[in-house]
Order: sequence, then structure tokens, then C-alpha cells
Amino acid sequence: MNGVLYIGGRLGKALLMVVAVLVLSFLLIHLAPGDPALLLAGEAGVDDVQFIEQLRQTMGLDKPLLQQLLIYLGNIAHLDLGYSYRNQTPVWSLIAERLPATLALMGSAFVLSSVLGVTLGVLAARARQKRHWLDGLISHGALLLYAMPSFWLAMLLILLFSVSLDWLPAFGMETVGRDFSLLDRLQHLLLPCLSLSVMFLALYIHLTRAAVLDALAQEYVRTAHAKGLHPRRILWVHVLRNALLPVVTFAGLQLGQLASVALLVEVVYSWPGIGRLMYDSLAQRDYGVLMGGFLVISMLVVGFNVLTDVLCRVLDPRIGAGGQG
Amino acid sequence: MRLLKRFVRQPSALIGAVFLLVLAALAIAAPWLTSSSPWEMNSQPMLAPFHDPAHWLGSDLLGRDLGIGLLYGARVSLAVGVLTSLATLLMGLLVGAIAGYFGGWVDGVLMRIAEFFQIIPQLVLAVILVAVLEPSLGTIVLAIALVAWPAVARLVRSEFLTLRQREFVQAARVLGQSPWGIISQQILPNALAPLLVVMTFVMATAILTESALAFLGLSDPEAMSWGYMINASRGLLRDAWWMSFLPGLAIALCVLAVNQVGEGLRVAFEPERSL
Amino acid sequence: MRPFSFRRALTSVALCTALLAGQALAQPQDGGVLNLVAQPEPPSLMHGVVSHVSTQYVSGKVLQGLLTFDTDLNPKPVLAKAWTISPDGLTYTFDLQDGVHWHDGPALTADDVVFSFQTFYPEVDKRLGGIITEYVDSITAKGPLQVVFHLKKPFAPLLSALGSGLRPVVPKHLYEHTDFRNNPYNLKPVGTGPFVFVEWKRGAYIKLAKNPNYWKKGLPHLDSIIFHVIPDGSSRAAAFERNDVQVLRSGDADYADLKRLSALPNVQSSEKGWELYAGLAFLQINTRKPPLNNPKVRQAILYALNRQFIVDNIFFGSGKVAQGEFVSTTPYHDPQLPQYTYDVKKAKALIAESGVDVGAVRIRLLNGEKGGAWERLAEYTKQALQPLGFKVQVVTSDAATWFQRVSDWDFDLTYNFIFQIGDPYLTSAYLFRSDYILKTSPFANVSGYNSPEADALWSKIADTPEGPERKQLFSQLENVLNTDLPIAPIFEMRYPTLFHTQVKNLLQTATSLNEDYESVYLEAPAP
Repeated sequence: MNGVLYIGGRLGKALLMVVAVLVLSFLLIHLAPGDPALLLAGEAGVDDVQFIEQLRQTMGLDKPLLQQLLIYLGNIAHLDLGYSYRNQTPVWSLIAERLPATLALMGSAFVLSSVLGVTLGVLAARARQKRHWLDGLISHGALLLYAMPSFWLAMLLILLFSVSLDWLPAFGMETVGRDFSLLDRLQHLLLPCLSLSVMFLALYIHLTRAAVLDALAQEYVRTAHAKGLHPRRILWVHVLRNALLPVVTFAGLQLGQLASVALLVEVVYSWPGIGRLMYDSLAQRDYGVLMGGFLVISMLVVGFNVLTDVLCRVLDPRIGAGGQG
Repeated sequence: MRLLKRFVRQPSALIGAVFLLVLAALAIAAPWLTSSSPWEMNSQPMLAPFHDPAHWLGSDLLGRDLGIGLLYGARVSLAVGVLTSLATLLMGLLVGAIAGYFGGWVDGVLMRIAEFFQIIPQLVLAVILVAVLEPSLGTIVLAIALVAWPAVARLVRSEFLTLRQREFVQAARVLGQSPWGIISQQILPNALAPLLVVMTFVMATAILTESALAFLGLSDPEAMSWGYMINASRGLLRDAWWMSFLPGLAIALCVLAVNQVGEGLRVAFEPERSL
Repeated sequence: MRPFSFRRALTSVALCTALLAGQALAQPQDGGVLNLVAQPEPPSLMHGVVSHVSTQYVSGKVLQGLLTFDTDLNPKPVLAKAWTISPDGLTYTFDLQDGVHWHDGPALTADDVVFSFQTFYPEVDKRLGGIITEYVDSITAKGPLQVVFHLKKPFAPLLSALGSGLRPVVPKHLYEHTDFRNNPYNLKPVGTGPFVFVEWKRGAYIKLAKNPNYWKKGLPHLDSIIFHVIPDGSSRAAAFERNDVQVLRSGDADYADLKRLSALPNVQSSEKGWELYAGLAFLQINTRKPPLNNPKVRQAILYALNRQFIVDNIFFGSGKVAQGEFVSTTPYHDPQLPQYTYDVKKAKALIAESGVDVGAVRIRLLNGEKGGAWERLAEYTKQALQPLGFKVQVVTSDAATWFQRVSDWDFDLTYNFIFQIGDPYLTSAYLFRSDYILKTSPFANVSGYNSPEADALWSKIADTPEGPERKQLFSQLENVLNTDLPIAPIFEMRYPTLFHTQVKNLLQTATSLNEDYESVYLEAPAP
């Protein structure tokens, strides 16, 4: 019951956070120079003052900003994300079309970087204890991976694996016109996923290594050793369980960053995801789509944070209900 | 002094520090080391490296010297890194100190705000900010700092929370020292070590973020930066790979050096943890 | 040398047979998928509503116009089988093709054409609407397959205005009594063309398939056309190199990369097929702002720009130094027009003559993020104007901000380009006419150029029928504009199209890439 209360409270806070993201991004986007009506008219090849004014009215841009914000929030409360005049499509369908691609990219990169990162981190920590060279290799390697700009790495990967070696496709998420094939999807996913993972892999290695080293120094490890438990069991079960706490917290916090870097990767690999949709919409001042993108991404991130918080409580029941990050 | 010794004993940290110092010296001395501005088109376009002794790193597609460009790029990257770190430090300190010192609802509100900036996709926010304000060094630094301060604020706050209970702070409080006095004279010096480590992290992030913004076309049009150089020549990756490879390498090395220094500092400050 | 193999021997025999049957090989082959790039992703797929280049590229295969233009800019039939113009230039009669059906079934009739030009275009295209109100008296259907335009007074460029692929005939049964701009069929176009719209996966691809009931028997050859959305230039180049896409339009790849790409095996580059789109890149000058309000200063700027360097080193040969305000390959340009040949001394002399201190104020060169080369052009301009004493600051803004700032006249200098499509009166005039000093679009007269002399010449030109007199007026006008220089012409754009040689019949008309591709075919790879 305490748990239910906790999760409820956490969800409430999360909702507040999403609203805050919406308000801030709404103001920021609408204060930016650039007039969607003017752009839309320009694309249609119209330079008629009346038409542009009429367009502004249809889009609701003639009202005071605050009123526009309230209308928008009201619509969101009714689960109405609005209409994209540029794409002549409801915002929701645009986003729904792109969401799976982003989820596949971010999800696979998250799994790859966290699983591999935690494993390598534990290995490095153990090597460190034994003063083995593997620790130096892994931790310096991680720093190097972290230092490479991901868009630059992505460019080089295409050059090597797609153009020079001709092993993997250079763009998109599927071979268009062919029947669905998992292998084809995976081939398309591999390079983008790698490019996106690298930076986070480095972070996970670093964090896990430090956390495991910390945990190894704790009293209970010595006790466990004294009790004659198998060292491998101590490391992978008891130590890792404790070391995972900061890693899980971090995983929640970095999801926003993962979405950010995904934007760069989506641009280089022509991946049809939300990040690119938002980037294009910014260029076109397609307010509704941009806001919708913010809403979805922030809900994802906030939701994931709630999840990791709950997970932390499961991992470590010592954290009280009042504990905040 | 012991600190310095512990830092110097780590070869990778030492190499990183020396690299950064040399880079900084070169960057500061750039106008005296070269006779021309990085924008000057003074050679045959798209010269390969090591073909012309006058332009030994080659030239870009307008005939601008790549070596000079890289040198001036170091100025921009380091300037963005340092300025952003300082701006971040300032914002983070202010928010973290207030939250940590006063606690209660002030703390609650400030930490909510910090959390807000931490979970929002930072690059996307920075892209919008820079696009809105028009790209210039100032707006780029501001945009990065605005999304990077929560890490510093959280750190300062947690240091405060632990230190606040310690005896020397309690004693100062009993002696009637003002809150700002306690913050600046008692707590800050003690929080310095982890702060420095975080600052190197912020600096590395700032350099990477600047390059990512430049990649998306949002660089200061008056400043020759590494990210700008990649963006300007990435269409020529196949004809002239060095034109985008070299600036990327420069970014990677610079960030690596900053991180090595940060890692070295961490180890130097916490010898007991590094076993 | 590889060892002799039986299979190789067989192949050579096959090859010999193929060579002997060379005639047969040149026959178009049916089948295959053509992969193209849609860059940027079009906002809609109805080019009657949105005159976006990508939209024309995609929907030109689905929707068709009355006529098109061959590479010498002579009209050619499409949906109009034939047309006659009365000697007084007041009556245009179009006969439509027989047996044309919309993709959803109904036959194309004269009613569709009347609806298109009487109702549809006047509403969605105010410029064409203005011309129709001013010049056209009535549009009527005479029988199911004949349309007659009655004019109030002669209008020489009428065929350009109606044809040119920009104004497809619209299906009346799907558009009548709807909101034209938000009609759902703008996203899933229904036309009469050789290809039928199948699917649009946003951010990824647009798929068209062969129209089995196309009104020209035996066409088209291709099974389907796929437009890929690839936002990054170097990725587009990589995709082309791998033959994942077979055609790159000009601008799809970085200008600097063209030379390498065109040298790839089995790749060809051609500048044909864009004759109708005579592009002119120019420096837009805000003539309200001192010292740019002085014509001598504007002339000095043009003298100080090494336009050959711009063409060679920034656009890598995809252009030709401009020779005037009207594109030199069109009959409207005066070949005797005085030229501003690169001459820094002369530029300095002009500045001295003007007596203006050009360094007194900072000049903002607004850079609109049109892509790499345009950015380089801004950087070059800043460097080139420095010796004259100008203090130029490059200001970068994203496309949307650029659009608004130029529309609002909030710039000093900026680069832009227009397509002079056919007669300059239909496209270029809006840059110069004082009644187009509007804050509505960057393609209006945002320079603030106001010359009664030029205005008078424009109106006279509109009312004068094609002939030597009209030509003389154009020459007079170009001389006025070339002295006043509200815009400084930089270069005429060339559009090298890169394609893998297996793609045949690609560039056949003056708007080739936007054509319907009915006769395009893919040569099967050699055995």
C-alpha cells in the first residue's frame, strides 16, 4: 500500500513535469522568429496578404499567445494533439507513423549499451582488483569512445561499411518494395544502433566500474568472502545488485540524452524517426508537430524515470518513500 | 602538493593535461603564429595534406588553409568549453547552494527544475534555443549552459547536505557567521574537489555539443570551429576525407584529453577509492 | 589471365548473339523499379496546390497537364491532343486526348479542364488568378473533348501559363465543392498519368506503381517508382554510389561531389532537361538601406565579386556567370547588355565616385541555410567586399527565419534564386514591379525597387504581342534594371542530373525530371 501510494505520487509529479515541458517548449517555439503562415503560403507560391491573414486565423495564430497556450493545453487534455497544416494531417498520425522507428533505434541502442556496458564495467572493476591490464584497456577505450562525436563516427561507419565494403545499407530502415524480412531490418538497424550506442556504452562502463569498485570495498563483501561464498557469485550477484542502483538511476536520467543523440543519428542515416520529424518541423515552424514530438519524448523519458525509480526501490528496499534524487 | 603528485603519477592524465596546455597555448597564440585569417582563401582549393609545404595540412574547398582552420578551431572549441563550464558553474553553484543550504520547499522547487532540465532532450532544446536566438558564440554558450547546469547544481547540493551537518559548519553557524559567509568560506572549499571533476565533464560535453550544433548548421558564422569545418566539408568525405576527418579527430582528441584530466583529478582527490 | 572456363565461353557466345541482335536490345524493356530521391520531403503530393520542387517531381508522374515543352521550348501535346490560336490571339481552342481515364475510373472530359482553370487555379494560385481575371473573358467546354478560352485582349505568354507541367488538370469529381488546399487527395493524388499513387510513408519513401490502364497503350515501361527520403547530402551520394538510387537531381548531392560522382563507372551526367527552368541566382540588395540606396555602390559590389570564381570553386561548374537580369539562354535577354566584369579597381573607383563612406554602417548579409555552397557564397562575399571598405557581418538564420526576415525586408544583403519559367513577365517581374513591394514573400519586390520607368515598360510588355517590338521593350527594360541593380545577377544555374546509364529516356523535355516518365525504362543488366 505504501508502494502504491509512492507510485501514485511519483506519477503525479511526472505529469506535472510533462506539463512544464509543454509550457516551456510552447513559449520558446512560438517566440521564435519565423511565421508558419508565411512559410505555408510561400510553399504554395501565394503572396496574397489576405490569404496569409486568413491562414493565420485558421491556424489560430491571430490570438494572444497566452490564449493560444491555454487552448493548446485544453486540447491536449482531451488527447487532441492538433493538426499539421503543412502536412495536411493530424499531428497524432504523423507521430504514430514515426514512433516505432525511434523506439526501435533507441530501444536497441539502450539494450546494447547498457548490457554491454555493465558487463564490461564489471569485468574492468574485477581486472582492476587483480591489477590486470584489461582494466586499462576497457576504461581508456571507454573514454576514447565517449570522446568521438557520434555524427562523425556515423559518417565514418557509412563510409567504411556501406560504401567501401558494401556490407550494410547506407540509409533508411528497410529495403522498400521487398517483403518484410527481419534480417533486412536488422541490417538497416545495425549501423545507426552502433553509432547511437557508443557514447552511452562508454558512460555505462565508467559508471558500473566505479560502482562495482565502491561496492567491492564494502563490509558485506568481506563478510561474504569469510562465509566462503564463491567469489564469482559474490561479484555477479551481491556486488552487482548493489552497484546497479546508481546505474539504473543514471539510465533514467540519460534517456533524454539518448533521444538527443538519436536526432543526429537519424539525420545521418535517414532514419524515419521522431527526432528528424521534430527537426524538420522546427525548420517549417510546424508548431503542432514540434509540440507533439516534445510531448511524446518527454512522456517517454518521464515514464521511464518513474520505472527506474520503482526499480531502484525493488533493488534496494532501504530507500524510503521520501527519498528523492 | 600531494594532490599534484598524485595527479602527475598517472601517465594518461599527465599526457591529457600537457596536450590541453599545448593546445591552449597554440590557440591563444594563433594570430601571431599565422599571418592570415582562417577565412582567407590563399591557396589552391582542396589541396591534400603534405603536398604543399606552405599549407602542409592541405586546404578546404575554397582554398582556406586547413592547418590555420584547425588552430582557430581550437580557439573556438576551448573558448566554448571554458566559457560554458564557467557559466554552468555559476548557475549550478547558485542553484545548488541555495537548495542545499536552505533545504525545505526551496530545495524541492529548485530540484524539480533541475530534474526538468535533466530529462528534457537537451540537444533538441539547445537546437531550438540557438535557432531562436540566432547562432553566435554567446547564444551557443548560453544554450549549452542552460541545459548543463543541473549536474553541477545537484552535486553542490548534495555536498551541502552532507557538509551542513558537519561540525565545522555547525560551529560557524553558532558563531553567527552569515549564510553567504558559511557558503563561501566553509562549504565551497570542501566541495571543490568533486566540482572540478564535474567541470571537466561539462567542458567535454560542451565541446561535443558545440560540434553537434555546428553539424546541424547552427554555428557562429563568424567563428571557424571544428564542428563547422566538418559540416562544411562532409559532402566531400569521399573526395577529400581529411577535410572532415581531421577536425573530427581534433574534437575527439581534445575531449579525450579533457576527460583524462577529469579522471586524473578524480583519482587524485580520492586516493582511497582508486585502491 | 584467368583460366579458361566453359561458362565464360558460353557468356561470350551469348554476348555475340546480343551484339548481332543490337537492334533488338535498343528496344525499351518493360519492368523494373526506378529509385529516386525526394529531397526535401514534399509537403503535399498535388503540385497544382503546392508549387514545391519535390511535389512537382513526385506528382508529375501521377497528374498531367495540357501540354509540355520540348528542349527548344516549343509546346508539345500531353492531355491536349492539339490546339489552335486564332489570328487575333483572342481565342485558344484545345482538343483533348481520347480515352483518358482518371485513376479512380471516370473519363477525363472538357469539364475537368474548365473546372481547373475557371475555378481551381484562380483560387489556389493568386498570380494566375490575377492573369485570368485580367485577360480571360470565358473558358467553355465545346463538347466533351474540346475547351475554348476567349480572351479580352491578347496575352502572349498564355501557353506558358497554362502548360509547363506546373498546372496539371485537376479531377473535378474529387475537388469540386471542397476546400482545395485541404482536400485529402492532395496527399494521395488521383490523376491521369502513367503511374498510380500507392503509398507515402513519411520520412521514408513514396511509392508509385504502373497504371495498367494508361491511355497510351504499351506504356509505361517501369513497374514502379520509389522516391526515397534521404535528408543528408552525403548519405544521398552514398546511396547513389551504391546504386540504391539511380538518379540524383542537381542539388541532391553536394556541388563539390559532382565531379567524382559523374566519373563513377556506368554513371552519366547531363545538363539537359531543365530548359524551362532558367534559374538565376542573385544577390538581393535592400535598396532602402544606406549606403546600398546608391546605385553606384550597388554596381561597385557587382564589380567586386569574382563570379567566375563563384561558379568554378563554390558551385563547381554548375552554372554560368550571369549576363543580365534575364537569363541569357532565353530570347528575352539582350546580348548587347553592358557587362560587370570582375574589376576591383573599377569597384573602388565607383565607391570613390559615389562619395559614400561604405564602412560607416555594418552590412548584414543574411545567410538562409539553403545548403553548403550558399553558405560558402556568403563567406566569400564577406571576404570579397572587405577591400572596398565594407564591414559585412554574416548572419545565419534557419530557413523559416530567413523566409520571414526577407519577406519583412529585414536584411541588407541576401542571396536568393528564381526560376524564370518561360516569359519573364510570369516570374521575374515580381522582383521589380513597384506594385509588388509587399511584405508577403521573399519572391516579391523585397529590394524596395521603385522605378516608374521600369513599371511602365512591364505593363507595355504584357500588352504587346510576341514579336520584334516586344523584344525591343525587353531589351530596354533589361538595360534599365542592369543600371539600377536592385538585384545583382550572379550566375545562371545549371542543373547537372546524375544517373546510372541503365536508366533510359530520362531527359527528353524541358522539364524532364518532373515529367510523367511514361517512356522511361531500365535496361536489364548485361547477362
